[in-house]
Amino acid sequence: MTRTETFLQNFERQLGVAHRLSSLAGVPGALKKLQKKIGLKGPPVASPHPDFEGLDVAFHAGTIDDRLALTRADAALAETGTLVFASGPKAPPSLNFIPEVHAVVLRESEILESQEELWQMLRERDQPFPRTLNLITGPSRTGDIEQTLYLGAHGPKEVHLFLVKG
Amino acid sequence: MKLASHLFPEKAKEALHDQNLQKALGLLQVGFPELRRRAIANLPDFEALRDQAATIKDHSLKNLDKLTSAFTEKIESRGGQVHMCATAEDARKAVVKICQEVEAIKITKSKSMVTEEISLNEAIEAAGMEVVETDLGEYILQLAGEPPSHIVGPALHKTRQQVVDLFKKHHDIPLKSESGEGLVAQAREVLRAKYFEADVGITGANFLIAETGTVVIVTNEGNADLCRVLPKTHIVVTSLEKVIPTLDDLSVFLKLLGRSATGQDITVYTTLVSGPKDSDESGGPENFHVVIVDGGRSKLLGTDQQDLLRCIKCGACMNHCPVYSAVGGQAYGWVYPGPIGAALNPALTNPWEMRHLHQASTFCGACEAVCPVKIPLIKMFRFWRTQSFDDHITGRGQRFSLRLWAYFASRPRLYAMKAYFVLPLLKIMAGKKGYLGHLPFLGGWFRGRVLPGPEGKRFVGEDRK
Repeated sequence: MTRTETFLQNFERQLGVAHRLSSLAGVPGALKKLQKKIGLKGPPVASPHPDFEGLDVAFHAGTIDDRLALTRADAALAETGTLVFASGPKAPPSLNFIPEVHAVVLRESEILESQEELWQMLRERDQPFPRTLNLITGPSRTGDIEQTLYLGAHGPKEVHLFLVKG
Repeated sequence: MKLASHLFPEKAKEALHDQNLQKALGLLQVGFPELRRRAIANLPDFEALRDQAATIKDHSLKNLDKLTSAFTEKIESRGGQVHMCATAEDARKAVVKICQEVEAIKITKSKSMVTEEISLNEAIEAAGMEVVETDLGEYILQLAGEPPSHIVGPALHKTRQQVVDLFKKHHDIPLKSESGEGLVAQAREVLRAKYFEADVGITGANFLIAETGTVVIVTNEGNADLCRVLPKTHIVVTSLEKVIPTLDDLSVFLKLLGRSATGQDITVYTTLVSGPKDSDESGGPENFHVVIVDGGRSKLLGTDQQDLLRCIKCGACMNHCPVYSAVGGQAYGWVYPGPIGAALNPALTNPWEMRHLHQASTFCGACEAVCPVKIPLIKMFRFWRTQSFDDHITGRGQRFSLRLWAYFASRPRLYAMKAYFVLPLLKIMAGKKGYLGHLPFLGGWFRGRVLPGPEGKRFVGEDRK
C-alpha cells in the first residue's frame, strides 16, 4: 500500500470523510457541496491561508455561530490517519474545534509516515517549535453515556478532507 | 476530594445491591476490555512498547529534577509561567490567585484527576467564581454533585435514564430527545455558550516534555481545546511525575495510552502546547500557566513505591479488575479507584484511611497483566498489607490469627504434627457430604462458599516417600 492509501484507510477508519481533488481548483466546488449539505446560507469561515485567497469565505477567528470552517493542515500521519495543525499568524486554532463541520485542505506530498517523522521534521526546520500543535484524528466523540459512541461531543461532528494531488 | 475510603466495606455492600450501578458495571466489563484486546491484537510489538515505556518512566523519575528544570526553563523562555506546589493547599491558592489576577468570573475546565485530588472546584467557588466542567462525564457528575467513579469515564456508573433526569432538572431548555444523541446535543448547546463566556480555561495534562517545554493534553471530545483556546488565560494543573524527556518518548506513550484506555490507536485530539500565543498569532490564550503539584509524590522517589509514579492514568487496571467490576469506583472513596488507587492512595494520603483498599484484591494479577507501564501492583498490595500489620492498622483478631498461622508455618514439624491431629478431625466433621459448611471464627469466609473435606493423604510427606 502507498503512504496515501495507508493514510486514507486509517483516516476513514477513524470516521473522517475524504474527497480526492486533482488540484486546488477543486476546493471551491467541494466546499459549496458541503455548504449545501448542511444548509448553510452565508459563507463559511476559513483560516487566512494563501491557498484560500479568492474563495467565497469569511476570514475571522471562530465565533459561536460558525457551523462550517475551512482550514489548512500542515501535515498528516499515515500510521494513525491523523491531521496535523500548527498554530501561527495564518492559523487560528479555534477554527479546528468550533464548527459542526470541519473541512481541511491537505496535499498528498504532505503526508508523513509517523509521529516520529513529524518530530524529526520539526526539529530540522529553522523555526521554534509551534506554540500549539494539534493532532486531530477524526471527528469529536464521547463514550460517556452508557459507553455508546456519539459523535460531535464538543468539537466537529464531521471532518471532511480535501486531499489535493501533488 | 474528601476522603471516604474508610467506608469501603459499607459502600461496597451498598454498591452490590444498587441495580443501576450493576447495570452500568455490566456494560463496562464487556466494553473497554474487549476494545483494548482488539486494538493490541493489531499492534504486534505492544509487549515491547510496554517494556520501553516502563524504562522511559524509570529513567524520567530518576532524573526528575533535571527534566523538570529543563521543562520549566523552556516554558518560561516562551512567556509561560510554571508554579511548583508542594501541597494541594499551595496548588489551590496558586490557581485561585491567577484567576483573581485576571479578574475572572467564569471558568471552564476539562477533565483532570489532579484537580479532583486537590479539590480545586471547591476552592474556586469559595473564592466567588463559577467553574463549569466540560467533559461530558464530569459535567454530568457536576450536575449530580458526585465524585468521579472512573479516571477515564468518570460517569460510567450512570445510566442514560439517570442522565435524562439530571438534564431535565438542571437545564432551562427542553430536552428534544431522551436518546443518547439528544443528550449529547443538549450538552453541546449548553456548554458551547460557556466556552465563549469563560475568562479562564483550566485543563489537566497527560505528559510534560522536557525537550521542547511542552504540555500534552489528550481528549476525545475536544473540550480541553475549547477550554484553552477561547479564554485569555489557560491554566494547566498537573502533577510532577508527568515529565518525560523527548517527543519520541511521547510517541511511545501515545501508542499505549489510547489502546489501553479505550482501544483507540490514538485519541481524537492530542494537543501539544508550548507557551501562550505569539504576538503575531491569530488566536489562543495570552496567559499560560502550568501548576505542578507534588502532593506527596516526591517522597516516593527512590523507594520501593516509586514504580507507582509510572502510571499514565489509562484506567486499564480498573477495567480488568474483578473487585472494581463488582463494586464500581465510588466505593473506593477517593479520586483514584481500582487497583492503582488501592496501591497509590495510601502513599498520597494516609495508610489508615486507605486500609481496606489493598485488602480488596484477589491477587489475580489481571491489573498487572494489562498495565501499559508494568507497575507491579500485586507487590504494592503486599507492601501495604505488611505495612498495615507492622503499623498495627490491621485489627487485633486478624493480627492474632496471622501470628498464629505464621508460628506454625515457620515450624514444619509442629505444622505437620498439627495437621496429623486436625485433618482426621476435619474429615469426621465433613462426614458423608465431603465438605465443611462452617468453622468457628471463620463465619465471614464461609458466607457464600464451602470447604471440601480433607482427602486423608497429605501433600507434605508425600515428597519424602
